[in-house]
Amino acid sequence: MVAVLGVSGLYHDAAAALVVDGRIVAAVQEERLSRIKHDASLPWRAMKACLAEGAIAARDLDEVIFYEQPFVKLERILITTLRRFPRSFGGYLQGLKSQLRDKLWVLDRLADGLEISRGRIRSIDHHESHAASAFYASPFRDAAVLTVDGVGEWDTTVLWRGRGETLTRLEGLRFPHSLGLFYAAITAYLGFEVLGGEYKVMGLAAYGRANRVDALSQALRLNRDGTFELAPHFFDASGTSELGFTPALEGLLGPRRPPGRPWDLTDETDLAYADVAASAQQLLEEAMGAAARWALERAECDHLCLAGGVALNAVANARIAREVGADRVFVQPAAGDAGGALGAAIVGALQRGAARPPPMTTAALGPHVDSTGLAALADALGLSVGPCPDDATLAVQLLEGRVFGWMKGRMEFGPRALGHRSLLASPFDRGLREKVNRLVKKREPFRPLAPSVLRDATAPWFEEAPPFLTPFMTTVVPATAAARQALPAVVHHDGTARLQTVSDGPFAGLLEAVGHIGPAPVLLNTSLNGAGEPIVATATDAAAFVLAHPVDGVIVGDLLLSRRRVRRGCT
Amino acid sequence: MLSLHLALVALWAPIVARSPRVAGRLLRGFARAELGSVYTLRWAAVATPSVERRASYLRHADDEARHARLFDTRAAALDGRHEPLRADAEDLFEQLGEARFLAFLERAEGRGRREFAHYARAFERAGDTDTARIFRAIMVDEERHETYAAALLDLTPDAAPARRHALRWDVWRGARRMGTRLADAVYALCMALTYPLLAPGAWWARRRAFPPER
Repeated sequence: MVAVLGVSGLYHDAAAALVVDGRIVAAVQEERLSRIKHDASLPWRAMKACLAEGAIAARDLDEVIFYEQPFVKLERILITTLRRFPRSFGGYLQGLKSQLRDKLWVLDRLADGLEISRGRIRSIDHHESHAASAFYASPFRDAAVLTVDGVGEWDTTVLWRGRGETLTRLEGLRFPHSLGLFYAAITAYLGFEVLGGEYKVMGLAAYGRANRVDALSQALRLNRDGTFELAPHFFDASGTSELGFTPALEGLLGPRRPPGRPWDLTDETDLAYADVAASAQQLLEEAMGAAARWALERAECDHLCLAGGVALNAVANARIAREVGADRVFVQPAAGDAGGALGAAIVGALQRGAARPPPMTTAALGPHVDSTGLAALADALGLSVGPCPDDATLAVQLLEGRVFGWMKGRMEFGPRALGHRSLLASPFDRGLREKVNRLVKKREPFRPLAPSVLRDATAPWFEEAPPFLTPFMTTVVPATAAARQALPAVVHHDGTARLQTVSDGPFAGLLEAVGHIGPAPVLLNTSLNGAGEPIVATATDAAAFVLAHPVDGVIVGDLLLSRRRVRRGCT
Repeated sequence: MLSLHLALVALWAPIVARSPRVAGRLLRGFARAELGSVYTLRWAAVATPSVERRASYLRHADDEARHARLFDTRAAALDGRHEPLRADAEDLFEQLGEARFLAFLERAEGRGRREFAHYARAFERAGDTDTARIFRAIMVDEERHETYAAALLDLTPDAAPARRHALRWDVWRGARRMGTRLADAVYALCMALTYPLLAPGAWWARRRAFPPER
């Protein structure tokens, strides 16, 4: 038996993944279990959950692989501090503090915490973890791989060639020239939180006109050969600033938008910020597209795999799939740092002679839902528990306008709820989008909500459904005129939708039931969480969610958990 | 120790209440503390073997999440700053065991209630009734939390020793926190003193180019 545990953490979105005998047994993000959004701490809970899924003890692991090289990262921080001297005191103080406090000793801490020998723990490069998570989980034997994120140790963008069981690094761009840092700076400029607010920029972009591209091109220069450069004086990449940009960027674009101010997209000022979002998005898409072409040319391959945080930009992925000339494109669902744990585990397993894992067809790699004890807990909380209605009954209730949480099977790996920990509603009523955004998720009204549809029923509603992207919601597709009319809650302002195609499992059964009584087998599907919370993981989390949010119930396995109805008018 | 802390709060509260900027910072600190409690309580809810206590911890966590939002929203209204609300958390249940955890809850909620009473009075006197109302509303919850924690603790056989341990542990925790702050200050001083020594290294680093690798 070859068992390897991959671990990512200490920056954001910590995770663990377990590969046993060439099979991905489990992959879990720490935030789901710790309940701390984007939890960066070492993922002890996730490691434990992975080992429990694999029914093995830590002492039985052949190896534990951390997803980046701590000392190489320290080198980057030191060199950056030196090069920015005497303006780098903040980075010197804060950057070194976090390195010295825990990051440098991460391998020792893993050995201590797992109670295994230090010799069985090592680290690999950050971008190698990303590349492995995309290529080895893909259905391709031969592909170009492009990894794009904020920064790993030194790399920000790397091209790879994947052949069978090997990944070969071809070329790369290094810090500070980073699309991730560019988009993060724009995220902060628009008043959103970095590492989480990037999705908001993407959603907001649909409301703007890309009329600031020329100005932004001064900050992010695209070269003819597929490379790009950040103009350093616009960005603060020291890591000590929440903003990531300098006053020069405000000089270029105007004053930053104050964080926390409610958005009003009928207001000229906010529309101007939407224009900045649209321009940044367009520039990012052009840079990603050029890098993807560069990767395909250098690797001399027809297929393309994408990973790294920037590959979570579904709109850019769609443009790449459409325009760069790749036959097929695959984006691993946990493309960000969480996915690094998966890549690290696979690299370790392959190096120990295990077979390459079969292509990833599902993101449901986390713990199973367990409703044992839920009835008693619900009773103690004054909630109601009953048997889950059958699919037909539930479909009727959803189409009547009710909103239900849906927890079935194993939890998803990655940021998307894909029908295992989802919040579901009718896509046919525009008002439900408002209800879900404002009352349940408490988020900006411009945030899009996604449709889930039976795989074989996409044609009348969506113009395409790339088979390696839509199962994981890692792209957007154009909605047809019929869909714009019939599915107003899930078609975005620009006429696209972040489509999920579903082919089997309980969620497919529910969609089929919806299709029998409604115009299409489509549901509005968003993640089952409230504002600022990670996606619900366990039955206990579901109970807490029902307590705090105005939903009509949460289906937990075979049970329906809901608030008790209060009888009125009787004395 | 507790009365000394409350005496300091009583002195400090009127000063805070007069400055929206300082008040905003204080309330944001409370918001972070409440959010940290949410995590601690959610972990306790997972760890406890008792369904009744799990329900109590979940309800308590729900209240703390609401308090965090109230404090954070009010802080932004006072000082006009919107900062991401993030908090550290301690797994006190695992560190202390359930009886001592309940004793600590009882103690912390009682301290919070008394502290908030000082702030509520200070903000009322300063004419900021909106902030005072938030403190008063949260005090009601804190009293309920103190009561339920005490009631659950009294059902255990170890209530008295757990309360004594919670007192000692709380004092030790306060001392440790002060130690951490002191260590942070010493670290910052040492780094400030050594920073000028980087100048030769800076000269070397600038001479070395780090172009995009091709």
